[in-house]
Amino acid sequence: MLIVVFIGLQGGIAAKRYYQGRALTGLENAPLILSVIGCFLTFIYSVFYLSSISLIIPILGKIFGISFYLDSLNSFCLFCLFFCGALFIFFKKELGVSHYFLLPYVNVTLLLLAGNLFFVIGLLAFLIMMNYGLSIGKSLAPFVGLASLFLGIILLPAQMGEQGNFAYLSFETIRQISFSPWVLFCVLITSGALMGFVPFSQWRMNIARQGKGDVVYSFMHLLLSMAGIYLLLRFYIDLGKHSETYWLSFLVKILGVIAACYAGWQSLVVKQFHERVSCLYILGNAVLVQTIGIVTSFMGSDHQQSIAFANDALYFGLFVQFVGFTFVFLLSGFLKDYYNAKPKETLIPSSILISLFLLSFLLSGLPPFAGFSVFCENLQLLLFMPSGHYLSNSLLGILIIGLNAAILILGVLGWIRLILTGGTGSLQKAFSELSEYLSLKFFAEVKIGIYFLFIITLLPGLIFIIARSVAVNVMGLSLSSHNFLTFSVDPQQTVFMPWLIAVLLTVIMLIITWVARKEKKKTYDFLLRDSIAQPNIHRSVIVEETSFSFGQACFESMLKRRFSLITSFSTVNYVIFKNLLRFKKNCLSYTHRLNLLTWQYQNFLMLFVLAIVLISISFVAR
Amino acid sequence: MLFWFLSFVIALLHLGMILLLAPWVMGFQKWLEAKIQGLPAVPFWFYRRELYSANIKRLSSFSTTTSFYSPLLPYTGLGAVIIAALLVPTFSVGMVTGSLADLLLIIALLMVVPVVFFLTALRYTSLKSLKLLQTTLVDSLLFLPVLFFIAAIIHFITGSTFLDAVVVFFHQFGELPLMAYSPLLVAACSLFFVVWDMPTFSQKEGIDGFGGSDKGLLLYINDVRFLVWLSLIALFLWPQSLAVLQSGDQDFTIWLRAVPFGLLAWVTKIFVECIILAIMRSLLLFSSGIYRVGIAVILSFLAIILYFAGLSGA
Repeated sequence: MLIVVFIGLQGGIAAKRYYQGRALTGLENAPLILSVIGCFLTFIYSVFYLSSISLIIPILGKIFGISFYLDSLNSFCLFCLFFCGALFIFFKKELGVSHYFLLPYVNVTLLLLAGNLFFVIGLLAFLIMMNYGLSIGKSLAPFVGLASLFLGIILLPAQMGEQGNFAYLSFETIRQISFSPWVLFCVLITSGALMGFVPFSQWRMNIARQGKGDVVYSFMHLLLSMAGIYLLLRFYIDLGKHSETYWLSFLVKILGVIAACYAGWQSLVVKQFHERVSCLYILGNAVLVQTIGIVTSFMGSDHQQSIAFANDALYFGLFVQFVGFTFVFLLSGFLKDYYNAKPKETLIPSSILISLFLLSFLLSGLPPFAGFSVFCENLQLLLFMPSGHYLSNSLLGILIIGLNAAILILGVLGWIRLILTGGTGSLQKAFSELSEYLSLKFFAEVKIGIYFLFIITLLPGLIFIIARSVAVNVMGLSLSSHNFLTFSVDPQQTVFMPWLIAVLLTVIMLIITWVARKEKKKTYDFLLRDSIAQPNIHRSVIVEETSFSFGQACFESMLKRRFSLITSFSTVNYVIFKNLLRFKKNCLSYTHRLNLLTWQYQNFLMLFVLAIVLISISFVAR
Repeated sequence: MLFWFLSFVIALLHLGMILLLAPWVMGFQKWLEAKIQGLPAVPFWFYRRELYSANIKRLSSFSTTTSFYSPLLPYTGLGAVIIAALLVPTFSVGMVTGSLADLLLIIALLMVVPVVFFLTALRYTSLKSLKLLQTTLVDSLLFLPVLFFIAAIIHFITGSTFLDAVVVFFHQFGELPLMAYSPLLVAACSLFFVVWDMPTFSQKEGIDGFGGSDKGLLLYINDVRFLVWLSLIALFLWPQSLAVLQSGDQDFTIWLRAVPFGLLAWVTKIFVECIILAIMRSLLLFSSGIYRVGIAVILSFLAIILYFAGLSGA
């Protein structure tokens, strides 16, 4: 141990001496490092999940009721939180010292770790008040959330009887009993207010807050919805297991569906870019809330074998949602900076546009991207939803399926309008500029970023499609019972095992390092003249223009490298087409005569074909 | 091993047939309409040649284009259509891709195509083509509720959304087919409205805004998409006409007897559908887009009601 400590100290001192290491010593980097470490630790905990940990702090616990609790649900939410936080601080360095950023961050971290009902409620109240202070629009929604939360506090201990000690009410205690659905209803209202679903005074509370397009506001938006989803998951799936939740789960579903429809419609109506992003974010959250409702309806019924699949859908969707929208918010922040820097410029840089384009694919529900797998799983779950033998239940299920179709339409159209917000001209320009960006060495980082986004968007969906077919085909599992894709479920408790994400991150890191190494070796790429169909006015590096600026041998070797692919292609093409032409030439006289014949007798031919059809129908039908 | 090999061969055969016959079927459809309406018609055996000679000839520009991402867009659409064609069982069930042939996945793949078309239009400066493809996109996206309803009906009847399971279900319960079959028939009829507008894609104003290679590709993708939709409708119209291949049947002479009949039935059904569609289009039934969507939604919902009516009767 001593030796290890000694080596560590030596290493630290050496790093400080030789690298002028501010990464290790500077205080402003502490949030980034802590988030990365936290992300790593929660990831390890989630993978090698053993048991839940609860920690009661001796003195503070007695006085203020502070205690901590960690299980799979916590650790998954913390993993997402730390991941998103680390991404925010990594791309926006100045956030590391901003207390507007750090205060809610720490608050939500504590909220996710809290193991005591009153600690949770206190932190939530703090978060909601902070939210109200930051918000521009004066809306009643935070107060509605707060009021319903306090109502829940009053209701819950009253039902606990002797166990309902106001000083300390841990999750283990609550989990033992069944409490009235009114508590769950209050929690639903609170989380709806946090996610921006509740229509009091201003439905567009979140949109108004988002309108500034500031990164801190975006992060607050992310944190609030994360807290809301955590509340729903904790109370509906974990604590309220023994309560009567059938109509409540139905209410959650309906709330999600209506909010998603409304947000999708708003995303087509509003004019500002940031408002549109916010609407699409609410839409995504609402789809996830709907999934939570489906999961809870599975829990009470006989269809408990579907929980594994539902669990996959839910956690995978949450991960995709949070990480994808972190990137979207960051890109919208970059856009705002760009507009501030050059107010006269109307065109958006193509790297940002292309990234947005890929992200829209990620989240829009198009195959084979990740959003599609979320949506497809959602639909499968709706089809498996316990409908009983009652007509009304089945018809309501069909209604929800139809509304989901509407949500998908609105989502796709909203994303398309989002990427067209900069104007069709700018997107067209981005498309034509892209090759120029990518060919220059200066933009290697942009290129890597785009590759990264492309991989993030494409891989999970592909893995979903392949893994699902493997599950059905190779492993012989039915649709509802396969659970090796990402997570596994204990019948007693929801367990998150992100094998897929582990593999995904490893593959992404490998590919990025590979691209980076390849990027180092590359010299200039020389572009050839394009076909006439494409406008190629923007091409800056064209072979003819640069032929004398380098040595002749160097230039020739580069040309050779560039042309080798094309020449090999054309050789193959030449061989194939030469023989094809010869064949055609031989056949031409006969086909000509045949065509003339059929041209003359085409009515007769039509009748003949109809007769053949009728005869074949009678023949097949026997 | 033999089973795997034969199912693989059959999958390849049916994919090749769809890819080869798609321009022919589209040409036949147009020729038939022109004959019904008494207009001068291009013979359908010229359509394919026209397509290729005018447009596909310039495909070689793909290998020399400099930008990497944007030429890939129409190929993405082509890939989506090919995967969809591979998944839809046309004349036999039990292919290699059978475990993937989820109706939801096929719907999603076919719905990607208009999105890709729309994004392809961004490469060109023509606003007319952009407008055309925007309209196409919105028109086809509006049919999503119909498709989801049909998935729900099929799930209600057969307990699964996999197309193989649908065919096997109707083979097993062939004794009393009408009870389960009539909602399926109505659903298939509602699908006719989805494919209603596809033959006119090449005649629309704005398609000229595209460059040669992309135009050819778009037309070809449209043809393949049309044939895939027709095959899907054919499956719902008469699911018992497909041959069922199971791994238990080791003797492949059974297959040799079953598969040609399935093939013949497929060709027949495609012919009949073309004729129905040509008559519908010639009479200009519901030619405006929003009416088609409305009628299709009502028909598919009617199918659901029919299903529940059948349940109550039982």
